[in-house]
Order: sequence, then C-alpha cells, then structure tokens
Amino acid sequence: MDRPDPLDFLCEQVAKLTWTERARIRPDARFIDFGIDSVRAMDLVIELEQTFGIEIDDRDLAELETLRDVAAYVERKLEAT
Amino acid sequence: MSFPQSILEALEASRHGGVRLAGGAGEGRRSYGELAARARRLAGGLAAAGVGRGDRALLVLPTGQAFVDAFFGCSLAGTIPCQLSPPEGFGSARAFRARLAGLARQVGAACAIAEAQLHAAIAEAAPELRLLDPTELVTAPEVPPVRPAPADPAFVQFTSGTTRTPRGVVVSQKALAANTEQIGRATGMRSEETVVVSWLPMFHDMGLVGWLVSLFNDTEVVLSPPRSFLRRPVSWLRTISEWRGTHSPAPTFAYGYAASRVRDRELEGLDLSSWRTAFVGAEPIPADVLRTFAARFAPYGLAPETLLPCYGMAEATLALTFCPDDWPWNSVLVSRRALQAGHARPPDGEDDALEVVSCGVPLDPTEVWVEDAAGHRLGDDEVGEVWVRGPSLFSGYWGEAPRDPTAPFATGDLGFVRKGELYVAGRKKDLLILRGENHHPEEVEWAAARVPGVRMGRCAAFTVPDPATGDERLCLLVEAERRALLAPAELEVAIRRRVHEECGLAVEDLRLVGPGGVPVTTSGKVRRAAARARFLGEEPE
Repeated sequence: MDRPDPLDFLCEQVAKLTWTERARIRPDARFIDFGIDSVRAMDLVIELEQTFGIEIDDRDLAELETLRDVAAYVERKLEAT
Repeated sequence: MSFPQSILEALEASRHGGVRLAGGAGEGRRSYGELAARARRLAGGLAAAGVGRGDRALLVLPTGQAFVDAFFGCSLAGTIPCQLSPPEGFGSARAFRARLAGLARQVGAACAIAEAQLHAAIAEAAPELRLLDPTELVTAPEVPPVRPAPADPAFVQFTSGTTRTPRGVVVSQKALAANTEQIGRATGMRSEETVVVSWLPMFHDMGLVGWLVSLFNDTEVVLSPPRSFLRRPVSWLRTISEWRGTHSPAPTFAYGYAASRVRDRELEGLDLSSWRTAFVGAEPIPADVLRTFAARFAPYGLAPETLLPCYGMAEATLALTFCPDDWPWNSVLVSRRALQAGHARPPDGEDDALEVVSCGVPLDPTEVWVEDAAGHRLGDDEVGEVWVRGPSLFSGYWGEAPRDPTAPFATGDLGFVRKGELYVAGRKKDLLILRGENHHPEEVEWAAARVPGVRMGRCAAFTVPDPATGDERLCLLVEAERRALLAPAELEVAIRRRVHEECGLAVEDLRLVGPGGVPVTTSGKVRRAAARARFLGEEPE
C-alpha cells in the first residue's frame, strides 16, 4: 500500500480540521497557530496512527511543536518498525 | 457508624472499597486498606526527603497508581497535595513550564512529585523545587500517619488555567468529608453496591473529588485516564458496562463528545442498565446535549433518570445542588427578554424562548439563594447572583486572607430559583468556560494585548458554541494598530502563541479589525457581549 508523505498528510489534515486552504498551511507553523487544542489534536493523532500504522505515545506530544516536528516523529516511528 | 472526617479516617475505616485501574492508567485492583499501607511508605519517603506537615507538594502525575500513592502519601504525611496537569498535546511543554513555575511560586511548593521523565522540564521551570519520583518514595519504610485537625487543608485545587494569576482553593478535611457525605447520600451510594467509574483528570475538582467520594463512602471505583476517553469515547461506556458502573461524572462537553463520536458498530453488547447516576456539570448544560445523549444510548439500557444535572464549584469542594436521583432531568422555557431584565417569565413566542436546565435542589444542609445587587434576597423567578452557605465551603485562596468557611459565598453566577430548584442563567462577570475549566477573559486579553501591534485595551475574548458539536470555542476580536510592524497573518500567529504560552489556551477563531472595530464603553472598557455580537454578525460593525 502506498503511504502518503507524513508532512503532506499532516498539512492536509490540518487544512481539513481548521477549514483552511491547503496552500496556507506552512510546515513550520505550530498547531496552536491554527487554534488546535489538546482535545481537537486527538483527532489528528488517531488519524496519524491509522494511516501510518504506528502508535503515538501521548507523552511524546509535548515537545512536538510544529507540523514539521510531528512529521519527523512519524518518520522516526516508521523507521523503527 | 459515623462518617469519616478526614482522608486518614476514611482510609482507616474502609472495609469494602478499592481502586481499580483501567484503560491505560494501569491494571489490577487494590483495596483502600492496601493503598493506605503504600501511603504510609510514601509518607516515609517524604519524611526522608525533608518534606513534612503543612508543606505543599505539587503532584504532576497522570491518573494511575503513582498518583493514588502520592496523593494518599501526602495526606498521611500532613503534606498538602496540589494537583497539576502533566503536559498534554502538541507543543504543550512550553505552556506547561510557565504554568508550573507560576503555581509553584503561588503556593510556595516544597517539592514536585512527578515521573522521572518530567524532572528535567520541571527543574528548568522551577529550579527551587525538590524533585521526587513516586516509584522511589513508595519503597521507603512506613511512618505513622499524621492525624489532621478538621480545619487542616486536604488539598489545594487550582482554578483557572492562566499562569499570571493562578488561584489555589484551599479545601479542608472537614469540607471534603461533608461534601462527599452529601453526594453519597443524595445519590444513594452504598458501600458494597456502588461502583464509581471516572476518566476525569485528577487536577480538576470533578475528577479529584469524584474519586474521593468513593473513598469516603467506601465504594469501588474504576479509574482511567482522560486520554482513554478522548481517544475512544466508547471506552467510557464500555468500562461502565464491563464493571457494572453505577455512578459516573463528566463535564457537559463529554456527553456531546460521546454522543457524536461513538459509532454504532462500537456498541454491540453494550449494557448501561447498571448506570443510575451520570453527574452532568462543570459548565452550562444545554438541554439538547442531554436529549441527544439520552436518545443515543437509551437502546443500550440508559435510563431516563440517569442523567443528573448538578451545580457546584471548587470553592464548594465540588457540589452544591443536584437533581434528585429518582427524577429525570427537567428544564423550563423562559423569555430571553424578560431574563435580561431580571425575571424568569414565560416566553413571548418561539424566538423569545430560552430553555434553561434545572440544576436541582441544594444538598442538605447547604443553602442556596439569590440576591440583588443591594443585598436583598429575591423570591422565586427573580434573577440575581447565586449565594451559597454550607458545610463544604472552602477556607480561602492560598496566599490570600483566610475566609470563614461558615460565611455565605457569592458565586458570581446569575440564576433564579423556582419551587426550590436552582436555574443558572449566566455569569455576573464574564467568564470563559472551556471544557469544564474556567478562565477569565481579562487574562486572555492581557496576553494578546502585549503582542506589539495590538492596540492596548482593544481586544475582546469570548466563547461561541461550535455549530457542529455544541462545544464552546474561544474567539478573539482584536484591534490592530494602524502601523503594526507585523503583517496580519504574522500578528495572528504571534497572538495565538502568546495566549497559549500564558493561558494554555488555543484561540480557535481570531479576527483582526481596524480602528473602532472592538466596541468599548465611553470609559474605554471592552464590551464583550457587543464584541461577540459583532463577531457573529448579529450587530452591524
């Protein structure tokens, strides 16, 4: 199965979640820049787990600030499996 | 047998109750007797670390064995536990450090009890704190427990999520005992039959006291972490079904969240017939949320009288009024216009109708009444500030002048009484209620106003319900200076980041406006209701 690029996928999900144009989602933006709080972020976490077949420990989220941080985290998880 | 008057007495008196951990909080069950033995060891660990009676300990732990041990360990050492959320969610580390530093200063904490992986972050934020690991503390030799006086603090409950002006509500052993007895009696808790189920965070009054209700009433409780619910809302219902839960609390938003997200295929075999009391509170209660939840889960055995709206606050330990547990919840239709003018009257047509859910009757012997601004008690159907007096009231805010717990307390909420039932209809002052937590709009506005390019004092914070879920969303209307250095998109980002760092809140909707875009009074104070109406397009700009 073809897996999407984690960063592309994240940008698309954030665009969908916040009703923002995809072109306006920058990889170095923080989740908070889009008004995504920890409850709303849960949808994103579940989406990432299902799409990439990884498990995300909620305790790892605190230091992940930008979309790029999260994409890199997903890449690391994929390499480890 | 007399009701226990402190956490220590409750632990000593327990014969049947215990804590079962589920859903990622851990596993297995320990009786309160076994937990008391662990707590005596943890108290020994605290003594060895030089933390003693009257010292404040920050508990920065997720729901689980370590939290239970640390909380009871502090209780038996006479140390005052102050609960605070570990960082959660993307990029929360920054806001966590700011909040922790503010709270540690506020209560003059002696130590922080946290998992080892958080120690570095805590040390960075508050280098003066002694860092303790609960898994090490609990291996110390037991010490005899410190017997508290009735007025000694049982814990400090932080209210409002901001870092600049945190407030710690001091709840005495006596107040805690009184409120847990009231709640147990009003909801028919029985030691060997009741099973409390909770996924609520332990740093929230509903989560902490909701759990301690089981200790004082010597019942079973099943605890799971908030993330188990947020990730898979059905896990809340599954836990009730599996362990035959009888009592389970949650803030209003959780009922909407569960009803809208749980899918039919997740419900096979679910049996909610054991659930007799679903406390609903901590934020305004829209009737539609109750209706939707009841209809969604009635086919799985949820009884109509299970949903039990209540009213309370950390300053009252937890609960002040409850709908009696053998009634279905109820509501009244009143006139919006008359309510604005201070009277609960029948509506004048559909457009004028507002449905207000009853919060029930005061928990005996608590008294609840309504007063006007001049201090006169008002009769039925007259709107005024809600005042309360009762055995569960707090002893003051930490670091401020102590208050007489027997004195009446002005809640800041507006409401009216009809036939002995309380109906809450707004706030005397503006308050942002987000996912069951209270925040002051001023603090959000101050944070935003310090971003260069925002016109001082021209920023309004308010909430607007999400049309899809009914959840309240935080919105900001901000006036940008004519010659702001940042482009609008950058200014928006800077404001959102500042509000998150200082208040721990996500601004869901932010609108920048030009000069005169934020309505103010003639003396220059922000008119939040008008700003909100303008934001929603209900009032011309």
